[in-house]
Amino acid sequence: MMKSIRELYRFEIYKILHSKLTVSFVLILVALSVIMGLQLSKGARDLIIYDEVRTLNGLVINDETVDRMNADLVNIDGLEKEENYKYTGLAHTVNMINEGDGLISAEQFYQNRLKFQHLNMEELRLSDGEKQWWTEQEAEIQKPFVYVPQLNVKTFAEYMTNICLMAILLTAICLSGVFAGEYRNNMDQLMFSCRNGRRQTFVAKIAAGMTFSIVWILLFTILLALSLWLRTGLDGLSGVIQLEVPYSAYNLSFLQFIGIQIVIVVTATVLFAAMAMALSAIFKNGVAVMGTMVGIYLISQFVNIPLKFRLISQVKAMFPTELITVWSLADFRLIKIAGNYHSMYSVAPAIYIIIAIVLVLAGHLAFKQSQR
Amino acid sequence: MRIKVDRVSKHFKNKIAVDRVSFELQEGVTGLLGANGAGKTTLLRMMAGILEPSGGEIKANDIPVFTEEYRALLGYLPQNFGYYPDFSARKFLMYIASLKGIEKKVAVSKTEELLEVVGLSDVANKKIRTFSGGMKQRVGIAQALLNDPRILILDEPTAGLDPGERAKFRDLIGEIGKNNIVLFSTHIVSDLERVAGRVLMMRDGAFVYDGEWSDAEGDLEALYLKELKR
Repeated sequence: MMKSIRELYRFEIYKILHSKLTVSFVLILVALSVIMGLQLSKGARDLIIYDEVRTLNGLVINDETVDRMNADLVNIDGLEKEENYKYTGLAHTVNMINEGDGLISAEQFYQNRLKFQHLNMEELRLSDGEKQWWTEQEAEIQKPFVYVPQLNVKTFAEYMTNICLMAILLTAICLSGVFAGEYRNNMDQLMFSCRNGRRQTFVAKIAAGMTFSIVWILLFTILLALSLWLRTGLDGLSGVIQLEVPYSAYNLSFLQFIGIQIVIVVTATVLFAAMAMALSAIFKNGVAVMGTMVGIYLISQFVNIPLKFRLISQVKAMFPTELITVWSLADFRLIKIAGNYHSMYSVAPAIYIIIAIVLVLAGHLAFKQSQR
Repeated sequence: MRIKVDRVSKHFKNKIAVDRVSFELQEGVTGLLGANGAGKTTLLRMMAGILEPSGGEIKANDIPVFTEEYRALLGYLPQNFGYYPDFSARKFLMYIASLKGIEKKVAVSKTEELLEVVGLSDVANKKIRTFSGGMKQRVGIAQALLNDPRILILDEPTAGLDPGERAKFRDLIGEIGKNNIVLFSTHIVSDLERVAGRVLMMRDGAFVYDGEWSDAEGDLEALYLKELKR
């Protein structure tokens, strides 16, 4: 049976890759990945004193550093100079939580972190158990922070949201015809009359669609990273995520966070691919699949659910396009499973895979019962 | 080998397409005659395992129709034969061979053999979308024969074939029918000439004639014309 599936899988991959729609759309996404990467690196390059910024690498964010930064800051005259100010990144971190107090000291920075953290927990309506969990996490974060110029990796992490969007579009456009195309070409009759035309064909199609999507999404991510790295390097991977979201209580470096993002994007791609193919088997119409997937994406983006509706708003926060954003590092809502709390990052990939399995089963049922 | 169709019916909403049809088929060629809408295609689809009957059952040597085991015995050419326009004839046949679970080595030699039989060897690497209607139909016939089927079901196989191709097709079917069950539908009586041992004629989802071609040759033409005028 495995041999038959392998042979069918080869043909399914061939079919997906030889679709004109796939070829043109993948080429567009490849170009987009490179352009995004180059734009990213341009941001860093535009800082005339980028090399000077790099000299700040490893500075401990303490009173001495912040005082020096503040002293330099008051000497700036004019916006143009400010853009090229070597402390830009550091000032961005420190002043993000200054509460409009003007220049703050390192001590105030660390105090404000905890204050913002607390306010955030209240706003998110966390339970006492959740607050306790975060207090324990916060205790593990090493302070004072060490400054690492993180402009590139920070923007890279932000652009991962675009990779997630690419995954939705790629699967919706390129996989919508995996089953629907067979009905359109009248191939379903032949297929269903063949020995391996039901179960084995279904498995081969799903495997081919998954492989295609995951490989391309990883490739887009690598292209994005390479375009950036070749021009400016990937400084800042070792920096703590608090340099970007100062009051976050996640004990993570940028490298770890990007790792989490990659896991999210890959499992989300599995989910999107499963959805596109299941809908393709159910609707038997490629356009309906694309419409449904784009519709779900638009709803997830434009419908704002107030935090007071904790469950629904948290479900929405676990949508891949939301969870992958850098600002999800400030979302402290946890998930309680069997009496233990888990972060959304650790649960979401498993949920995506479970939903994907359910969708694949639904697609299988539709395909199995298809008749002509 | 024996196919048993036992009180098989198919309803589409309020329409009865096939009405409690029973018959048995053994090795040999059987022609299925009937005007458009008589229920031929519906009956053949049920026998090919792509449409579930509303009632009754179909078995080949006690193997139910909706099983892999049954499909392994089957070769089927649907009425509106589907294909991938951008596949070459050779690639398409190789694909169908993998759908039929034929080992790659066997598939390669069988594909070449059948391309030769249906006269498409010279254009085997050309895309199917560049083919004429008759050439496409010959690809369809070739794919149905890939697994040396013990049961061959052909729905209007001669559609689009020129007179020379029809004659060749009849010879081919006659040869296959010596050891296998062949059931093919047509609305052209002459297609069955010299080939069909038995003829079934359908009207409104039921058989109005079931007999040997040799018994009814002259009458059959007249009977069929009468049925068409109804």
